Amino acid sequence: MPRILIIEDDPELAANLTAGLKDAGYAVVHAADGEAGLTLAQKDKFDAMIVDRMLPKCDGLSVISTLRQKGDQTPVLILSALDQVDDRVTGLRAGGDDYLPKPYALVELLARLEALLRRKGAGAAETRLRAGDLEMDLLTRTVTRAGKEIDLQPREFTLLEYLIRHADQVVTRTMLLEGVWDFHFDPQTNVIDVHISRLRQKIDKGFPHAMLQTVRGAGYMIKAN
Amino acid sequence: MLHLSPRLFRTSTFRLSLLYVLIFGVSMIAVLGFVYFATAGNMLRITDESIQREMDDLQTEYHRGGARRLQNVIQARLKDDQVGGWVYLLVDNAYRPVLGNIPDWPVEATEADHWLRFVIPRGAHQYTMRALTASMPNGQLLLVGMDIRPAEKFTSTMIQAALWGAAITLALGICGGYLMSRNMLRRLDVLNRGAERIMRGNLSHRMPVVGSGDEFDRLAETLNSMLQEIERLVASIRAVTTNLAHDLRSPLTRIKSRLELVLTGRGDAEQLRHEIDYTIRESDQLLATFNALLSIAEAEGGAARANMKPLDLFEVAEDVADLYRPMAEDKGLNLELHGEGGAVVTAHRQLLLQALLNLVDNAVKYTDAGRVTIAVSHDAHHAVISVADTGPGIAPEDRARVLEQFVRLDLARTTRGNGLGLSLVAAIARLHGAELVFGGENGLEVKIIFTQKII
Repeated sequence: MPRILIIEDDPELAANLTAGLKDAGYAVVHAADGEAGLTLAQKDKFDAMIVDRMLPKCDGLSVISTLRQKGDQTPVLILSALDQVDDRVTGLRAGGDDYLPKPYALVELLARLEALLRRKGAGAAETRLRAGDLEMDLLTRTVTRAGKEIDLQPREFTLLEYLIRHADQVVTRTMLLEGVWDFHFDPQTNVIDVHISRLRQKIDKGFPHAMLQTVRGAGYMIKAN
Repeated sequence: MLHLSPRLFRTSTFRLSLLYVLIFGVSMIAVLGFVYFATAGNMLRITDESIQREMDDLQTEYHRGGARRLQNVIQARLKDDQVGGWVYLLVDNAYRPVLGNIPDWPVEATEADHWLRFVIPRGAHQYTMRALTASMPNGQLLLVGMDIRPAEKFTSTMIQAALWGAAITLALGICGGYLMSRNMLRRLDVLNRGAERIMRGNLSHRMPVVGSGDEFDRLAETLNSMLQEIERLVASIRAVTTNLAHDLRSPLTRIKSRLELVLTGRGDAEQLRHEIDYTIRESDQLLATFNALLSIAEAEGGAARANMKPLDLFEVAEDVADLYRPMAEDKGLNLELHGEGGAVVTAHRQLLLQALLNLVDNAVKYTDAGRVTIAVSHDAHHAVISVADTGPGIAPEDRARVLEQFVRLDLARTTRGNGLGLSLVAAIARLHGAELVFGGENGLEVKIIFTQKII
């Protein structure tokens, strides 16, 4: 069971978050201010941390940069009410691995947290990716499903690559916009859905098992099996 | 009559005039002092010189012809009508008068070769004398003196004049300072009272302009134009707040009634799930409105300027075109991209992407047939990125209004959106010092024109 440290001063948000993470199968430790959080993080070993930016006693960014200076590489998801493009940049620069503005949807947070935990285990640069009978060759930029070649546009290729790297995880629309298009804001459109349905046409049409699935109210997922 | 208010004496004008009075008084005393030493002092010195010369003359006579000759000379001087203010007295070694025009050796003359000052009564008057004594070789003592009353009178007149002058200066200075301060205070009071009225909420009040064109008028004019701008801003904020309240009330009411329905527990699980799902989507819309407002505030705040970097407008256009092409094609529209790389401007990539995305999103949303064209062009000093569509367009008279926050030309507000998209584009353009131009013959064309040296 992965252990998560939450550093968040708002008691209601912290309680909701703790409950949500426990339901999703995580063990949760909660600290209500920056100092307590830093002490816990140094004393104990966690698989990931969720850190609010504005905290009493010691702000979230200082907590993260202190840990990073001491060589602690635990993945960190920053939560912040400062929903501005440049705040995101400062957050990541301080050593955060991902950034989620408040208010957030729990599914979005869970999806990003899982992505962080998986990335931790990811090895060196691969040249081939595989999910079920779907295979990608990153060097020749070819895609096959069950041996049958699939012709993809460059952007569709990048989109599929992102989805396969996060196979069996929920990937949200904002994660796709950030990871595939490098758009770091929520454009409030369903424009991603069109890209997904085109990709789905190409990789799932004619196969009995639909790999690219829509996760209701959350996003999408490549299901290997 | 002057109404003496203690407030007046605390004004800086009054303090300033007091300081001037002080400086003026000190310099006047200095001038008068100089005049005194140059005139009265000089007169006394000249008197002393005359007395000394006379004494020297008389001693020379003595040396030439002895005591006899000296007495003759003095005798002649005394007889002379021109004796004027001169006094002579020759006494023997026992201070008994031998010859002279004063009766007694003055008690102040205790030793020989000595300057002295004494007073002698002559008739009804008192004479102030300045005199020099000398001892003769035969033991006699000689006194030669002169009436210095005119010089003394002149001196005292001078001192009196100086004192009067100082007193008048002080009085005039204080009165003038008082009057000036009162005048200043009166005009400042008008401004203060005006400011107080404005603080109490009367934003339409204006500072009175007397018409003299002086510094107070200029101040009042500046304050008035500042008030004009503040009033305009407050009105626009008020309009935004009202619109915001209106826009948020209906979805919140819908959320509330739907949740109440769910609370009654009627309907099957699938139906309840559907209601909750709908409620979440509606609250997402509300959050989106706030996010848009925050983005506008961010662009208007100008802090984003710190993160501007040189970037190629064509690459930005490519990214957005790439994102929207499938959507446009699904709608049966052609999404065309014209231009080429090289239009490099200093810009905030994410904000610029957002602005362009809003424009393209609008174009795709409102165009039912035809095409959407994104074009990038540049010359040495301008770079232009434009989005044109073949949709219904915006009537020229409505073009300025679409930039106001929350204005949607669709008055019934049936289409999706929070009415903030174009306001955000305008704020982002302003942040980049770029101009936002609406045009288009068939359909709408929106141009963002950057004016900077294109690298």
